[in-house]
Amino acid sequence: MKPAQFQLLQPTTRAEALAVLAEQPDETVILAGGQSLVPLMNMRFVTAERILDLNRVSGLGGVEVRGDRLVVGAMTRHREAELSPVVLDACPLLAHAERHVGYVSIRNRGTVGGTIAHADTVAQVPCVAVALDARIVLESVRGRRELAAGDFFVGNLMNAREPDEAVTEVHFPVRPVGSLFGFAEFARKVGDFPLVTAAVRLEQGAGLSRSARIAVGGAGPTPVRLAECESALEGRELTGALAEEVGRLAAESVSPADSPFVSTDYRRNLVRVVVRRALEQALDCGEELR
Amino acid sequence: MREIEITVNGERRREAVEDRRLLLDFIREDLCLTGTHAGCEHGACGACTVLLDGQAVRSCLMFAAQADGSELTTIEGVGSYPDRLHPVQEGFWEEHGLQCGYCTPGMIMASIDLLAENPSPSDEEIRERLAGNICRCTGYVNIVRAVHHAAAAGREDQS
Ligand SMILES: Cc1cc2nc3c(=O)[nH]c(=O)nc-3n(C[C@H](O)[C@H](O)[C@H](O)COP(=O)(O)OP(=O)(O)OC[C@H]3O[C@@H](n4cnc5c(N)ncnc54)[C@H](O)[C@@H]3O)c2cc1C
Ligand code: FES
Ligand code: FES
Repeated sequence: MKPAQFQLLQPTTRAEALAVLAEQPDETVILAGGQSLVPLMNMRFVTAERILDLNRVSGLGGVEVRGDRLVVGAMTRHREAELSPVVLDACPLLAHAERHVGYVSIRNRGTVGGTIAHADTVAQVPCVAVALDARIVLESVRGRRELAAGDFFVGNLMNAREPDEAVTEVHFPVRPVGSLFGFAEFARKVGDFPLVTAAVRLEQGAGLSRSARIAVGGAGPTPVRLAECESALEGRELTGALAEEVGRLAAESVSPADSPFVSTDYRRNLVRVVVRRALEQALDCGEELR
Repeated sequence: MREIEITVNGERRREAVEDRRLLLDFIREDLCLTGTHAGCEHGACGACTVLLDGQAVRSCLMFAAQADGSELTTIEGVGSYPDRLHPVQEGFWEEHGLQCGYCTPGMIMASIDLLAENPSPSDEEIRERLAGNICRCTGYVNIVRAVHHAAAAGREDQS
């Protein structure tokens, strides 16, 4: 359980880090919080000649509101995203989802950019990113580009990053005034990786839902938006019965793969439950607003 | 090999480490502080929990070189038997919060981290916070009691 030999590179500026990455992109692995990468290195599922440590690079962490976007630096720790008053105010759905990521000792090191880059289909933050159509900012010595979360995640543990690019920021839309949100997951035990996740946000007009967004994770290779469920909510008042109905619709609209431990039927049933619970949470935050 | 400088339990240490040296192995094998335990060595069990700049982290998921310039607290820096036990250690002693003791250093570090943030946690808050620390012996009930014991001692100190 010891990692194979590598050279640890610890630049201190963004420009230096991108230059180091550009030198030998295929031989260099980026290290953020290490909470997913280091286990893989210890088990030697990942070996690399060069490890590019982003922990000393200045200006890659921190959160700020810019216009209608909450800008989260890639090296922002999960724990900061969970507790920051700025995040809670601008994007409470993210703050709520962060509470479910592993344990406090994991959240003290793991980062928002790291979980996005890792692209685990059951991870909480990617599910929120897909639901809200977050933008992933990628930078390299060649320049900067932005991808919608739905285009960034291309498979389980796979993303659309080029080898010389680093994720530098994740942009979440600022919560529209009066909108309702909810996040629910099913995990066997507190802090464990969930089997499925669901994130929802509904804008409200005269007590009726508009612009509904629902994403589920763990039901396929990437988190996905559920268009049918979203249209089922449009123009209707959110109630317990509607939450139940949309949960059932969600279960019908996913086709999770069978696995030795979690059958397709079981996972589909969990999708029904978490979508319903996420909507019930949205209903509760609606009660608070009244 | 590279030189790193770390403050370990209040004492400045300069050591040479390989880039791939895990912080856990650095603590156990280079500093010879074997109170920090190696369990799963891939982040799953919490036995290796230490405080880095005051925050609980898993020492098996970091490289020693990354801790250069930091302050590290291990179980040895917390308190010692017989007359300098930390209130959390007292709690584990009084409430029989351990059997084999393998998980104990990690449990104690995680509990100290919890109590620093929340001096009067509920059962649920304790269970949630310690969910990342696995114990194969106790069944956890006495561990929860131990943390309550320490919390009560902390409250007495305050008054
Ligand atoms: C016991 C345990 C429980 C956990 N439970 C959960 C859970 O419930 N939910 C969950 O979502 N996660 C969980 N995690 C994982 C944790 O959330 C990680 O923090 C996260 O998945 C990866 O973030 P990181 O910063 O640690 O990235 P790292 O581990 O450093 O990197 C992960 C991957 O992303 C790449 N990468 C990292 N940053 C960048 C970047 N800026 N640009 C490009 N590539 C980059 C790395 O090269 C690597 O391939 C758990 C981990 C442990 C050990
Ligand atoms: S040894 Fe570090 S978590 Fe198990
Ligand atoms: S006391 Fe034996 S593992 Fe906890």
